[in-house]
Amino acid sequence: MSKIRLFSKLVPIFLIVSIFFTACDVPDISEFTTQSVEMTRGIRQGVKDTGDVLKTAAANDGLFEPATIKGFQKYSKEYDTVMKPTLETLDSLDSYVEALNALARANKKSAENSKALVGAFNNLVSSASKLVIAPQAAAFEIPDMALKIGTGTIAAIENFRTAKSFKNRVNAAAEVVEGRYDKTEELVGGKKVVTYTKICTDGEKEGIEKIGKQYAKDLADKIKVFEEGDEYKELLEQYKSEKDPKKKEEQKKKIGSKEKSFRDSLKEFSDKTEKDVQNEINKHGCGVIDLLTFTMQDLRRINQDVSKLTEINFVSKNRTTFGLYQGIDTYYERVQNEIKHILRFKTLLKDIRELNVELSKAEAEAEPKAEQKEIDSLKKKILNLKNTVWRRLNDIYNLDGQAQTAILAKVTECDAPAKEGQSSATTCIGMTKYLTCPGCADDKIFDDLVKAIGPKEFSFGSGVIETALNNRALELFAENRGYLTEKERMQPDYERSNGELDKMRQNQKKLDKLLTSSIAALKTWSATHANLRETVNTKKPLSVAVLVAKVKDIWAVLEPAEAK
Amino acid sequence: MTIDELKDEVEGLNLDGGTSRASDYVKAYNHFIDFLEQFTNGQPSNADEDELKDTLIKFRQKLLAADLGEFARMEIWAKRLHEALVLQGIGEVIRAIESRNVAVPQLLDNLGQEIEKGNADAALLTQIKDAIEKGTKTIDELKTLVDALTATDADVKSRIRALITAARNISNTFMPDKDA
Repeated sequence: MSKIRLFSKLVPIFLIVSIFFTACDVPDISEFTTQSVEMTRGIRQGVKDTGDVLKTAAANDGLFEPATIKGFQKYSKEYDTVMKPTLETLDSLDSYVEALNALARANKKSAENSKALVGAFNNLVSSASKLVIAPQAAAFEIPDMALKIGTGTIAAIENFRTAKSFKNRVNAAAEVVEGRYDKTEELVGGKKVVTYTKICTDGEKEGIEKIGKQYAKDLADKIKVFEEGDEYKELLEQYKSEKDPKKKEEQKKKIGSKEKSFRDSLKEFSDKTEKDVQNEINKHGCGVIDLLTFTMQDLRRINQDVSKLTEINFVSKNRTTFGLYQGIDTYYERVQNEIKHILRFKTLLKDIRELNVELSKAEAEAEPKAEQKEIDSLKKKILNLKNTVWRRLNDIYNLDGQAQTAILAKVTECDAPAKEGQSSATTCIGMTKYLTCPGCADDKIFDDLVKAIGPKEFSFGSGVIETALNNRALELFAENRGYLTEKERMQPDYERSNGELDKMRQNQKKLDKLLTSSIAALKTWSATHANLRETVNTKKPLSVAVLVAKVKDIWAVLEPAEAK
Repeated sequence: MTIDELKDEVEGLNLDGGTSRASDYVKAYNHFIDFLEQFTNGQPSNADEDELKDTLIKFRQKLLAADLGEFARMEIWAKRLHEALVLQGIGEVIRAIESRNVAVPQLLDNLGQEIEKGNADAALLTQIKDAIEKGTKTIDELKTLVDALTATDADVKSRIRALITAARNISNTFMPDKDA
């Protein structure tokens, strides 16, 4: 009985403590797993879309030179091939986080189940301890079995070392996924400070590429030496010239055996060299995430280059549509501007006429004292407005030479003394000088010149100018109406071309954003994995908030409505 | 001539704005050719190539805006050069990815080992979880019987015996009995 009581107290406590202790070391990484898988899904889309950029270009024979189309077709195929390892890498990254997650979940589940076992077991031991008339064997076997199950559970979990296994997995994979770090230690204020610096940079990217290129070149050289070697060439020649089928068959076998032996030697060379190559590459300290980042940067470059080229070729091809449409718009704007000036000119003339009426009234009716002051003020206003009229006319001349010619022709006609039978009110003596006025930028010269023109002459002359400008405005309206009709006619063409151009730009921008967001997410993934490492090594909490935000950025590009 | 000088020269071209004449475009075109010769003889970086492409795009835009019949040949030349540079760039990118792919198998091998170990551990944990579940169920049942036990109940006694045997088997899966 005492044995049962002892276990009833000790075993469950021991078990619970052990299980809790084991379970606490493995963090919940389900969110990290979800985000990681979403990130790789977005990256795969970027890889596919960049391939589509090349495929679309390769199919667009109206936009590129024939040689360029061939180039796009070639690279489109090569792209699909060279991107396979990237897609495999993304699959592996998924498998890695999923395996980690399975391990973490199984561990948690195991701990929960073990707790249930301990609970059930505790109840059993309590019940057994109360047995008064129990079969002796059962009474003794229960605690014995209980001990076995209890310690067995601990042993199983202990043997299993899930926490350690998880930690080992994360630590061992860190170098592979994150890349290597340089560790430096220094004493700061008597305290040892450890700094980790990432080894893999853009410089390392070039280093790896150099090694890879050399390796590919070495293999290609070997093949070239074999294919161009006298012995092999001779065998091929003999085979080609041999007429006897039996001998030809023998020659074929000889060639086959020669090729096989070369393939074997090439494989041997490649296996041997590959190890050296891998060792050299390892020195650059780059991990899976670094390689994926480099690739995303490269894809951005492809997208930008092809898109810019496509865009300018498209605009060039549709230059007439774009040019004419925009030309009409620009011209229409100029016409509107000129009409605006004409209207302002007409308003000024109206103001001058009104002031002249006011002046006449003031001269006739005003009180003697007030009279001169008001008259002077009105005269000054009229003079100022005449100056503004002159300056506005110059603006119109600058916009429209034809208007200037027409105005001068009309004004010249009335700028002469009245003929016999002609009313003096229909002359505009001095107005030609007013229009062409050299040195009139100087106010004094201008004032002297304008004062010499009588009000009636000025009024008639300005009326002539106004008529000439009205005619010009009508001409402009008519001309513009024609252009606007043309613009309306070509509107569907323009909208189609412009729509296509817009779509092109949007696609380019979208893919660029997707690739940029992918690069940022990869960087954050690496930091989150480093955080996970810290979590399992130091039991600090795991945070995936930044990764969540970065992955959201990716999906905001792919599915804008859903992201909102 | 440096790329910056060429860029400035191209930037300043404006036939309709009156700041340049047609001959200025031809001068810029000739400078482009001189620059290209110098460029291809050197060892340009990706950034240099990007800058050259951008300047060429600018030049193409200027020719397009001028839209002068006599510029047609320059336009075709610039288009072909632009396409050639883009294709060359794509080729370089593909070769670079291909070169870096050499590094992938080993990384994936190493990662694969960790994935295998992780999955194997997770599978083992699941097995243990199942065994524990079975154990819990057996013990719960046993407890029910123990609670209901009376000295005269022979049937219950034999069922307890059977359950104890089952529980022993389960306990042995956790910790094999050396004596058994």
